[in-house]
Amino acid sequence: MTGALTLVRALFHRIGTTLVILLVALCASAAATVGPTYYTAAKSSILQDSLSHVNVVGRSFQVVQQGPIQDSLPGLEDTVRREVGFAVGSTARADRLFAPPITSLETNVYFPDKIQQVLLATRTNFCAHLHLAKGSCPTATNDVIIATSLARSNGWSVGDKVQPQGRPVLTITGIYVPPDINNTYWLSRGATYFPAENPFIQVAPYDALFTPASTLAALKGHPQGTDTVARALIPSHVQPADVGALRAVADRFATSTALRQAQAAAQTTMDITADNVKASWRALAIPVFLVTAELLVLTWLLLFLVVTETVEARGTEVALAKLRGYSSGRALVFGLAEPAVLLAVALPLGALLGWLLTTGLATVLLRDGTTVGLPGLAWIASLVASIGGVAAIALAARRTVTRPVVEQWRRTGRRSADRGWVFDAIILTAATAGLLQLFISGTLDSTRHSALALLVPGLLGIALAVVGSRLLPLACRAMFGRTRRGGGLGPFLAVRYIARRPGGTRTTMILATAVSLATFSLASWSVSSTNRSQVADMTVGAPTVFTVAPRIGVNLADVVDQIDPGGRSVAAVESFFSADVTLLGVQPTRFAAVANWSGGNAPSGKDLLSALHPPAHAPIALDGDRVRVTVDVGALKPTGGELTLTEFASGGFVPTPIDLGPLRRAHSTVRYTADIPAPGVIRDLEIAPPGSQRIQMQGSVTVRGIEVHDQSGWHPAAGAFTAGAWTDTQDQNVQLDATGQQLHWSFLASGGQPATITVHDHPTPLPALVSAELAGSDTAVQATGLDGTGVIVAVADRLPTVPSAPDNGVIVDLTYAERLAGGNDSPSLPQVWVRGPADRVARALAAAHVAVVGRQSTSALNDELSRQGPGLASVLFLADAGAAAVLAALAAVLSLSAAARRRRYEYAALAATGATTRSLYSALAIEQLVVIGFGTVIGVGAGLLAIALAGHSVPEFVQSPSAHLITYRPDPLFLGLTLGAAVVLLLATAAAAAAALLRSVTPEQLREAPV
Amino acid sequence: MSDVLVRCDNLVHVYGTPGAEVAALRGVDFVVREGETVALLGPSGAGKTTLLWHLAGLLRPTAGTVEVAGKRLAGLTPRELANVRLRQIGVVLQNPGRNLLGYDTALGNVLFAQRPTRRSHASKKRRALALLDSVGLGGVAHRVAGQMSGGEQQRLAIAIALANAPTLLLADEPTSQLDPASADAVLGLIKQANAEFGTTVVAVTHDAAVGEVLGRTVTIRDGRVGAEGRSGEDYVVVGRDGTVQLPPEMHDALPPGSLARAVRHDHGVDLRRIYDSNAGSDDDEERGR
Repeated sequence: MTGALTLVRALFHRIGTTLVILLVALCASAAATVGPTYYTAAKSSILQDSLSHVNVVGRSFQVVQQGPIQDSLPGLEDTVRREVGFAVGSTARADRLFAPPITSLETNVYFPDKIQQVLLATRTNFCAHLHLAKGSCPTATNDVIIATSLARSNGWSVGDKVQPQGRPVLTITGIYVPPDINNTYWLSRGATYFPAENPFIQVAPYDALFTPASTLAALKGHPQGTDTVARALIPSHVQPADVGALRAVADRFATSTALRQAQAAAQTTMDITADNVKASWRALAIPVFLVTAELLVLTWLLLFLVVTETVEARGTEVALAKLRGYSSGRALVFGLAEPAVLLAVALPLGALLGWLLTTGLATVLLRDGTTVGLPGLAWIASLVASIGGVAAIALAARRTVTRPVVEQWRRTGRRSADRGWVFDAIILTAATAGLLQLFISGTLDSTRHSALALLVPGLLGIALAVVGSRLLPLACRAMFGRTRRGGGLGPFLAVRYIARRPGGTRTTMILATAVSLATFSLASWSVSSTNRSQVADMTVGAPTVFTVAPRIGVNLADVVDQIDPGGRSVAAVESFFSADVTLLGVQPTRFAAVANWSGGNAPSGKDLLSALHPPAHAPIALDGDRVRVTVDVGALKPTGGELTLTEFASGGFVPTPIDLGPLRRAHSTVRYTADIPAPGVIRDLEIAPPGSQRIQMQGSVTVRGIEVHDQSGWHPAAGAFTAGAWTDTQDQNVQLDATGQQLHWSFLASGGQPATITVHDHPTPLPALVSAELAGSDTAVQATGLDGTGVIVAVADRLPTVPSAPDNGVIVDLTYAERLAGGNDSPSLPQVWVRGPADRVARALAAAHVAVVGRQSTSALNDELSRQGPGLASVLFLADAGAAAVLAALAAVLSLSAAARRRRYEYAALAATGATTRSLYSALAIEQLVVIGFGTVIGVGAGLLAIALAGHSVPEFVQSPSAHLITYRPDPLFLGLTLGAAVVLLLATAAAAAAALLRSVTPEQLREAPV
Repeated sequence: MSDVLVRCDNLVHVYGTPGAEVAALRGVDFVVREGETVALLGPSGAGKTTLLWHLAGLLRPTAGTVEVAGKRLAGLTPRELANVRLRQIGVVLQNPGRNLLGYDTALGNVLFAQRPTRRSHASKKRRALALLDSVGLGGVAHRVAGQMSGGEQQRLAIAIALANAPTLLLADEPTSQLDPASADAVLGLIKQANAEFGTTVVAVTHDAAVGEVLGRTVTIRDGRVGAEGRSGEDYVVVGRDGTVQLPPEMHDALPPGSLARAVRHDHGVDLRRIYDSNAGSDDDEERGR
């Protein structure tokens, strides 16, 4: 009890040292704990991220059996249950991982009077997943529920009885609103049940009829169809240990004899999901291991240093104990109790601190709701971290036992300093060998990414630190003469203290290595953070990108103009993605303001407009119900050619020819009137050879009028005869003369082609901004237009990267691209790009009948990339290396303070002989400035050198983006400010420690004569 | 005649490394009997403290032997040596503060010294409080040692040294940093220990007053026992090799470098100067014993 009290008093007596040891041991334990804890949590986060982002096929399976549907389902269900249970190990585990099976039976029924084939289906608990617009869900045999679209198109309502061909009469009990087919319940059958809701299917089939299973069971004539058994994973139930089971299920299905015999096939990509998850884990695992190992070594050294210093500082007390007759064992217990107790306390507390830190990191970095546990591996790592302290205790114990009392009174050992170079030589050799191995093995080849690159800063830092720390005393010795001759007492004392201070080189070495790691990790994080942001920016294209499905007849550009009249935050974009080239039709001024631009070099809207939208004639609108064309036929050979006006109808998919009539005689005037099928614009005017003969046509005509009829009567089509309105696109030796009142047109069309002139409402070829990699040195590039047909664009300028298609993007003017596509932009993907509040825009789009069917955002992608293995590893590295640097700095300050404390007698003597406090403070300050500054400079230099040598090899992405999106240059301002602030803080701490020490120096201490 | 407690036989101690040796003791023969109180006197650097450390078993002799209570210290195992220190030797170091755990209380310090013994805690505490009472610190038993005055710390150091009732009390300059009153008190305590418990005392001191209080003085000069004082009478000590160190006050009679003739007679030897190196002439009248 007395011993415990003495121990507690001693701990409080040396509260500063106690706290530093506790802090270092805590941080060592915490740093060791963070790695495994973070990895375990990150695995879970990555798994849950993958399961939430993957499409439904990637997180479920569906076994489909074609053939007779009656009585087949129970057998299929049993087979599937058996196979899945076998694959995952037990049916109990399968029931934990997967939601209960959803089964379905489907067969087609035909309504001859409506000429409609519709799916009649039953599905487990379908009533709970269909929202009723009218009526009730069917419960009786031959009762059905139908979709609103089917009801509307056929005029069916609740209570109606309908009879498919060869089937019983079905009673409509309700009308449902088609559900969100992305709901997991529908798995991959949603598109089969609800094809009418698919905005990309233009020829609309009909949504399914749903009926109780008894209806299908009662059907006569062995109906054929499909039965399915599907089970979806319950993501929250899937643990990292279950990932192997996901692949096992897919593999089992692929090789299942039972399924083959049942003529059933499984649909799932859970194996790919599992592989992707494991790849991301691997990308995290190696860096976490390396980072943790590097930091463990550093914390071992730190603990060793700190504990050794502490035990050395207790040398006089241990000597006193021996003098009082303490046996070696008792002296050992007495002398080492303090650090041992502190280490024992720090172990669990450090693990807890590590867990708290990881929880904090997880809150910021990992998926919401990720549980952070404290795995067994973390405890082991924490225990391993304490080994440095235990080693120091063991060594100190040996010294405690063997060193004579008188030598312990001297406070400093003699032999350890003499043998220090052996330790340094071993470390230097090992570090150099490690670096050589990395370089020779090609690990740091500029074309490769390897987590082993993370070893470089540690190895390089320690190698330079060993050399540097040996040079520092030499440099100080070189200053002996100069400081003797002048410069005051401060520098005189400082250089001598540094040159002669035992253990000083260790302080410099550990500090330099830790700072090297911190600098590298900071620079690496800065680089990877910039790159992730850049990749996210350029991959998505704008802060938010909505994929939309405008209702037919709705012009997306018009909607965007209404939502954002200012033109700074919303842009309509039509994209056509292909493997080689992505064409983006954009609104230039809006696009310039909304899109993410590489390196922040956004072009001005004016520049973009001038590059992409050179002047062109306005389209000639056919905005009435009839069109009348008056033509003076001049020379024409042969006569009888058919005059046709081709129209792009708004919302149409193909050009619509409007036949006007034959030009029977030369030198005559004809006037033709025809109906306009739908309002639109004129694409071209043609004179086809009579009877579709493959003959040459030659002649000249004067179009004297193109008039449109609407409710107000006939009026000329605006701009039809202005200069430049028409052009020859077929190379038919055309001569055009537009006078404003009429158009004179002479031509020579060969090869049976119709003589054609086209409305010149867009430049040909379209000017485009093209990604530099795609354009190369070409002046024109082959792309695919919005209508899915090939188009040549002229390279107006080259961009380093094109938003949303960094390497293969082609940006053209949306208006011209649509005119080029003749209004048929259905093959393209309509998008709305947003900079600013996206939810508001989404609501406005919905109000304008533009459905949002997909959403991407730069921030979400950036978060996703950050949550992948390399991103998580870079943050862990930064956090751990930062903590190590703080620890090393504290250890350096402690070591310097301890050394200075041992000199208090000397300071007291100097003070008694007239040395001013100022000069003593100056000596201490210079010593701390030089030791800490030197270590810091070496460390920063080593870190930056490591970045230059190995920065490009640090993995930043699971799948590497294109090289030109990647920078290897850390932000100098960020790096400079952060490191500068850290150094200032460190020096301020050292200065405060020095001031506190000197305040306690009094001549009274002269009584404490050294032995 | 009581038993011999301490015996140094031709004790030699050399400090330093090869090439830079300093001989601190050059063949000391020294005996202390049980119950004696001995003051080791001598100039700084004479080897007094080194001799004291040898008696405490803190140094290994370069040559010669040290025996305490019949045990040759150099031959003991660390455990045996610790046991000797625990049960038979109490040490008071020169600096009062160095005898103490500055952060512990006075009582805690005495208990700290008693900790290796196998007595009950209650017994240890009773003795510790009694000791503190005897050194006049009973009222401050729970005060932190580091906050005590120099005199109090030295008295506490003596209490600590006596904690395990040692047969031999070794004190290094026990009064050197104390005011006269405190010095008197400390000397009183040492005498008291000797008188009450029969504790043998060997104290290193510069202070002639200490020598007067203690029963015997042994003067160490240049690593050798130069003189002894008993009952107010000073004697030179003949070394193992026949050397004799004259007291400084006789240096004028036989200055260094003098030639003297040794004349044997029944009770000893007379030294007669035959050449004065300073005067450069023979002088048969001067002699020293």
